[in-house]
Amino acid sequence: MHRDLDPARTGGRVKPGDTFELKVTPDRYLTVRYAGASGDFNPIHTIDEAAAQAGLPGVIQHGMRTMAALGLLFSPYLDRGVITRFETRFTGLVCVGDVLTVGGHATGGERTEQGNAYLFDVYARNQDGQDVATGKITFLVYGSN
Amino acid sequence: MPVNTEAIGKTYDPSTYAVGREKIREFAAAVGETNPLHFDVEAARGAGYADVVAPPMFAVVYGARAVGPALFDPDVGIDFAMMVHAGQEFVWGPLVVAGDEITTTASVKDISERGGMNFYVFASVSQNQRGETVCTGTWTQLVRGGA
Repeated sequence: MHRDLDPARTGGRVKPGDTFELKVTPDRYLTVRYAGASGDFNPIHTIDEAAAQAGLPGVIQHGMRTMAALGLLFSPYLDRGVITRFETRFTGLVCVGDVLTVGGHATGGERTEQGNAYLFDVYARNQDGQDVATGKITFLVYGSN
Repeated sequence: MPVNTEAIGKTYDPSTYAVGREKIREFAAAVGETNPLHFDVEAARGAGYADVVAPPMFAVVYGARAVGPALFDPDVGIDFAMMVHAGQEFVWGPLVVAGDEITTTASVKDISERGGMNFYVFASVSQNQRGETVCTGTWTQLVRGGA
């Protein structure tokens, strides 16, 4: 699924419309681990009673963890480039037991002084087909222009 | 009652975060990163970095320390029980590695009311010990039933 993005295969070129996808499966303890790692201890992410008091169906995943999952699409290419810009809208709740598919497609690119910057639309979609987050990512491939 | 917008423009004291190697490893593992550049010092040095590289979303770790006081500021007046993270934007500069010291300044960018909900937008600017801007962030929080 990363094939279309791989500069080694494409000669550094990504075509608009190229798509890619990755499955991530949050488990019961993921939000606890993320709370500790990130320092975000809002109890709606770790304690069911606190989530219920806030009117939520149960603990929900941190939005920032969902955003990080979207970023995983690009992690294998860190030796060739970096995400330079990333905007995300959180459009739905991620509950324990949900199965998320993160994916996206290339929308275009531009040459910059540092290299070619590729633009992507990305999404995190749950098992019901609902987008829980959508975003735009700019990935800069070093020295590719 | 309309939302109080008096805090717009308020800026908070800078906060400095010392980036540790094990914290990068812990965070990278928690978000599912597997690239050795986040875990293996030799791999990172072999790629030309001084130490293990922070994943992009590590910006939450060094940024939140500065944005936190803004979120909790009574002048801003967020009702935490009803708060949901609505949106987030980051723009990154040079990569952050273990050993860096990142200083972040946060401010209140906007407070508004839309569709019976209150929106609170915070801005953050993070610089490393060389004065390079490593990340700017826009943090949008939504408070349900705010209006």
